[in-house]
Amino acid sequence: MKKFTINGNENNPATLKVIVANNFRKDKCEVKIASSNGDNSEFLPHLVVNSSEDYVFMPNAALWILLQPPKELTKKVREFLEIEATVLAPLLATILGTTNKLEASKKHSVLQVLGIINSQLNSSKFLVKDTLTIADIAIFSTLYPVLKVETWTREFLLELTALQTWLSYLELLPEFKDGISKVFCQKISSGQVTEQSNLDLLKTQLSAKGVVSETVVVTPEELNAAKLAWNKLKNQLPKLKVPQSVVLPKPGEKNVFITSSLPYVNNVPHLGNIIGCVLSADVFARYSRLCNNNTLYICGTDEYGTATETKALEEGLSCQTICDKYFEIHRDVYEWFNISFDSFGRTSTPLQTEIAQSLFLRLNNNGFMFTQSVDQLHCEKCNRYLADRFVEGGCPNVGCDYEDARGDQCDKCGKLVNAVELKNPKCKICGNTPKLKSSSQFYIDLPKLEPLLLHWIKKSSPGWSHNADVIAGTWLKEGLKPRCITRDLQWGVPVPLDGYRHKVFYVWFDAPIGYMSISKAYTEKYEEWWRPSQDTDVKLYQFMAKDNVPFHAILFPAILLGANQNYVTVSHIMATEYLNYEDGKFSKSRGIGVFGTDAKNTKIPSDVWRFYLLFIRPETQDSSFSWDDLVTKNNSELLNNLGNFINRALTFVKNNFNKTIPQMDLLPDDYTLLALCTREVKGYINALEKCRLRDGIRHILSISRHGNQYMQQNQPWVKIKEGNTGKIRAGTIVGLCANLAALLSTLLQPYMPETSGKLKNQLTYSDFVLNPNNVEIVNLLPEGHKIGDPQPLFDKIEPELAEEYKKKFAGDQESRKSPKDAGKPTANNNITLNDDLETLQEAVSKQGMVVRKLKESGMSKSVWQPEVAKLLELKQRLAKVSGVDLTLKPSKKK
Amino acid sequence: MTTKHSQHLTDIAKYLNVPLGKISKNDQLYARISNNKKTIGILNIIFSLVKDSKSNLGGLEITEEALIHQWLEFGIIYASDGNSKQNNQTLLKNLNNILTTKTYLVGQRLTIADVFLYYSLLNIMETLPNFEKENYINVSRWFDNIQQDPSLRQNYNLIDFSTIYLSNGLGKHRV
Repeated sequence: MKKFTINGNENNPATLKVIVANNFRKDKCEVKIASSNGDNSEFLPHLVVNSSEDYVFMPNAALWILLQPPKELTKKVREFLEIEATVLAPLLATILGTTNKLEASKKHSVLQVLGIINSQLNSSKFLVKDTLTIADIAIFSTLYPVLKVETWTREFLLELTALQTWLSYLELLPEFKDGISKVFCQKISSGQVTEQSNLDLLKTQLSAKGVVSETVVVTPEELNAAKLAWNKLKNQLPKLKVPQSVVLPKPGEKNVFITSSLPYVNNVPHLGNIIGCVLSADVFARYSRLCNNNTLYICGTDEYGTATETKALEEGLSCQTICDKYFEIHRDVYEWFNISFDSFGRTSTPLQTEIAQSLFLRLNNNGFMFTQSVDQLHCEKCNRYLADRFVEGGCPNVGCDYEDARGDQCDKCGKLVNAVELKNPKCKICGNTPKLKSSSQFYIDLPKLEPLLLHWIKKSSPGWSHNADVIAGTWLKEGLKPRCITRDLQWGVPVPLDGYRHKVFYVWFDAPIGYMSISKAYTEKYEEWWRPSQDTDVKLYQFMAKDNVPFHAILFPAILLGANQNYVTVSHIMATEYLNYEDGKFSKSRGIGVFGTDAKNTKIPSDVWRFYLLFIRPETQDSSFSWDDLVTKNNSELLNNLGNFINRALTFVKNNFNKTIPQMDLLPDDYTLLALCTREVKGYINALEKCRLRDGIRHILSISRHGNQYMQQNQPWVKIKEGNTGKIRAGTIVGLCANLAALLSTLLQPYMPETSGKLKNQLTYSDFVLNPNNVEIVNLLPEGHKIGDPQPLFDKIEPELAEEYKKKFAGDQESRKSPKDAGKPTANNNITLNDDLETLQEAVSKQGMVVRKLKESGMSKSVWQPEVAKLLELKQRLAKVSGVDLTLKPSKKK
Repeated sequence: MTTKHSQHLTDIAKYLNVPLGKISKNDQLYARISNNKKTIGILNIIFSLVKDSKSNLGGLEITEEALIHQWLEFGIIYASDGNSKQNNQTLLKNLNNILTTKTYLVGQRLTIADVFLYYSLLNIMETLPNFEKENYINVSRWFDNIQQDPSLRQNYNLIDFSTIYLSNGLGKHRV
């Protein structure tokens, strides 16, 4: 036997590796540990082979000598060692070695590696099969500093439960304990404590989130409950309600009314919009239906207002046509995402006019409205008041002599402009000079409504998300001010009072009333939802992103309370934070990020989009969409964990039991599994009741993780070969797993409806009713139940695809259009247009938008100046053609 | 890890006169598919190529195997094209110290470790000015020895280690 000497240094994870490996040897080597700050030019740690003086300075090679892995595991061990030495350790060294902000790309790479490790640990006890090898020692040691420091733990380990379990298991083994105390103890004399408390902290955090159970021991009560539930007769179970064509609330039942904030019609929703409102509300609505609640989920497009008018002018279409066009785009996107609206309506309907007008009159009669005059520019020729965007003139800002400043902002100096201060203002539509006229507008008297609102908020806000509570609090703290709710526009609901009939309601008043008109469009009996009878309890849940909170927490309740008609007010405002795109912002104006229509054109199924968006739902803080992460989550969680478990179980039933659920004789171990899964189902129900949708997914994944571990431990493929008793045992194991698959098919339904449907087909099974008051796992698929054909539920996504999409969606929307669109004259095409009036007009208005967007996005002058030049040139050419010179200075005026 | 590693694998396969098969990179590691067998990781791929070639360039016993592992890992981690000049200097300095008493990296004979490190260091050595080669005299000796085999060198240029520049005194004056 060769003799070795180990030389190492303190606080070095690589030294830890070598010492731990040595601890596993029968004949221990001599160990010398230098203090970490010793000035030593040698490689540390290293191993000296005493006989040959061979010098082994790469730690993993030293491990190989000290603790050679079994021959049949060599390849797999070497694979893990390589990923540890060439990827994980160098990355962590640069991350942990600096105090700089963690780079996103590095974090992704680390998480990718950890994801691979985690999914490996889902299916085996150690990294390579169920044998502890130097692969475990190497990776544990490299991760040890991460485990020790809370911020890094949070950053890297929080969601990786299998990895977490494995780390804490290894840490307690005597060979590891000894190594840790030798390498890391001296430095931290209070260290044992710090170290331990961090680990404890992590565990409590994880268990508080319901992600990991503190111990895998179940109580006798839990075991008993699991047993009772399993042996319940299936015909005692309640049945899911038959879906009604019109859902109405019923006395004595749970009635859940859900809305998601109405998207503005004139653009395409991006992923942030989708997760912020419609998708979140959809998960909750689907869950609520599974609980047999009378559930109504409505949404629609918000269509009135200046922006639509501008867009209509730009595209040369009527407002109604514009709305029709974009309404369809919205509807198609949500349809593709499988959003289960009971009704997706729109606000430009006669019903909207009827309800908005009657609510306005009521508030007016109740004394919550007053008028006040406002100065505004009026064009006599067009007979309209000009919204800021419809007037241009000389920039009033000192030092800027730009002649074509817009009513809200000057394109040249970039400063904000008050439209009435423009020099020589001109109507953008006809070119005439508008006059200053004062115009009377309606204000809602919020200060007068404040006492009602304060009282109401105290009662209602406990059910709101935290951010909604905070935002509403800020508004109230500052004191409410009257808000102008009418405008001199044409595209909107007219004010139903003489002298005001040419004015329309502003979005603040108009948009939330959309919820009411859309529900009226859905059913004539809409008042049963909005003004239920005394014996009927309706809970209103409104989903939105946080920017919409003031409308729903202040303005809309104020309107409803002021009307004094016993309207249902919101009991649960569920507001999300913002979703970023690859660490930047989604931008509608610059077209950065993935839009609803883009998602459809990827090769990624809508269920995977739903899963990932919900997995990263910005619940308590902003979160980021990342392509790399999407791929990792799909491949590790959906494919390797969830899909793998279900497919393994069902394929086994198909191949060995002729597609029939076999006889199941459960042993205590099997009930333990059921008890553990019952905990997860409880966690799931708790999370969804409180709309913590992110957590819900994690409980689903924990169930399949338990299932995978159970299969791995019990090895039905071995048992089946062990005679008749073995066959019954194997049957019990896979029968139980098939039952968990049935459980999962329902739990998955709110998140991934298509996958859930596929799975139910494979199981020949339908959803069961969730009962939040009594969570249990019953025998859903009894002995003798015939299943269908098992198929894989998920596909692998190749990382190359993510790279491709990352590039594709980095630019603006314009540039990713197909070549056939490229020939269309866009404002960015240089000026090669035919000089006909229409084309030029379109080009001018498009270029105008380009300039405006560039400036709104805060780009530097060097970026937008050339675009301004293009705009001016276009305007000159238009002038030549039309005879109206939009660029002329007043002095040159004919 | 950079894409140059796939080039090294190609070179090694050619040198060993075995088919390389299909090389791809997914997740973080390279993979080789040959004869319907998948091998993951550069180390495993190199060991599998040696095995296919039936040569004795691999490790014959456990210490040798571990030492080869060490040099392959060393090459992957430290001999990267993206290195800063300073990193390269550290690399060459360390290697120079280790090679003081050695003709080959592992034991007393040529192994796949020498072959891999030769390909890994080619770029660095090619761009190293003559007067610096002198500072790493042991590395230069080792490299010059290895590069003499034309089947290993393939189409790469012989790097000039002409001793006239490398003799101790002269070099120093030229700096």
